[in-house]
Amino acid sequence: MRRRAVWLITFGGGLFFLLEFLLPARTPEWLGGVGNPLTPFLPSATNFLIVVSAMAVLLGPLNLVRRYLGMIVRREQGRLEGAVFLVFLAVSIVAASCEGANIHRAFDTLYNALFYGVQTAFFASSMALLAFYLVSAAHRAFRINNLEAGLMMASAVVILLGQVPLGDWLTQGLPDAFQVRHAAQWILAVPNTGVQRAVEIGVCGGAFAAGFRQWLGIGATTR
Amino acid sequence: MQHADWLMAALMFAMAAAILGCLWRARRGHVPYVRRIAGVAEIERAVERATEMGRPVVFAMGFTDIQAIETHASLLILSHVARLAARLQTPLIVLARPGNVYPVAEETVRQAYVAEGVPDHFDAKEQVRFLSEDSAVYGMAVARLIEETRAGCALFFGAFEFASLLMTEPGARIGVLQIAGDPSLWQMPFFVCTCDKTIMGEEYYAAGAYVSPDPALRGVLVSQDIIKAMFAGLILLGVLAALLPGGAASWFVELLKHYK
Repeated sequence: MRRRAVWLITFGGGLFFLLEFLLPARTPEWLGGVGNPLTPFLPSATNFLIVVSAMAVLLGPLNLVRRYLGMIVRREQGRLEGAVFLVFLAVSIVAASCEGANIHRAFDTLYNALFYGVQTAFFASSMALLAFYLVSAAHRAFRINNLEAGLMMASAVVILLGQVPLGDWLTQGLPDAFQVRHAAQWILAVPNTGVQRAVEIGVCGGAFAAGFRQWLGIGATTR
Repeated sequence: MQHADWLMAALMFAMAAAILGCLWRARRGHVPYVRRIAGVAEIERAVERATEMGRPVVFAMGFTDIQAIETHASLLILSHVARLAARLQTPLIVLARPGNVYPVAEETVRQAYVAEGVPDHFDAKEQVRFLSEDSAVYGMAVARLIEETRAGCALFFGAFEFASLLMTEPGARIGVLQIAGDPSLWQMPFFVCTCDKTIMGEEYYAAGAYVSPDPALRGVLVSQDIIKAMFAGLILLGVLAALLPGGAASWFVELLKHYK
């Protein structure tokens, strides 16, 4: 019964959005010039979806609070981090609720310190880490283990040289068509773009088929 | 509001007809042969390896919310991994980022454990975790969890943002077997560099059907090839029109524009 109800809601919702999209905004004059009958209901349907999604948003943070509280109560490893999280959560809620409400200037200062002083600094640190990871990952990728890796390496060298003055200097004696910047441009504009478009067409078909399957309720994971 | 034009509607109907036709054939027992997708086949081996090592399987979901089809495709794979983990009694940790995906992921894992007859082994609070709504925080937390638990294998399925490298590089350094799947191209180079296997492009959507016990899903996979063939046919037609003399290309473009 529950499965059937969920399927009906999914199918009905999908049908509404599909028909709204497929029907024209206004029929031709010879068909009476009637407007799309479903479009007026679209904002309400979209708002309904947002409200339903919002109901689930709190479940995630609640899971975090429950986990960390449990760790602290059971004196498990990681309880210190749990305590830090819970303290910051409480302080952030207070600071965000009182900021801009003209209660006390201290709340504005606290808010700025938390979001611009702590959070932004943490974000910048993780971005800095990303730069090191990039180098490390690139080093691993530039190992020529097979023919494909060799081809990738060769094209990478051509593209890298094609972007910098060194490439022009190295090939300055060659005819214009053989200069490395032209080879780099060709790799980017022809094989690279072609492959990207091919993958995107495949993804488009895959996404459509997966969406259609979900709509019809074939292979759904939770019912 | 955006509405479909005639050309778009015709393409959508053609694609839907291809899917329904393949589904009908699959329901009648004509299940096609599906080539081996290396990354997907490796998932089972990775979970078995984690079992042998006595270490947990970490499954990190993508950044899209519950309305995105990428999320639903990753849930199909999650269901398969959870069933494997339940069957082999391997610890499984699922990490979900958008708040509205978290309860669906929990229910998916719960149903997988129920399907395997071990509902008592499922611990919702410990096994399905919400980490953060922020991409960078989520990425760092996933990486830390992989390092901390010395995961037997780490699986990343979904559409990821810039944090893909933050998540996967620490695991690659300590030798964790990692498999990633992402339909978009932008994070793929990072996954290729840091993961043992990657599932890219349309394979990502095929993966869920490939691992599903439902033969109808495998049947639908053929429709993806038919859809690609349709687009290839259109491209070929355009190329031929461009090669023909006498303004055939502009005629072809005008024809398409007329129905647009």
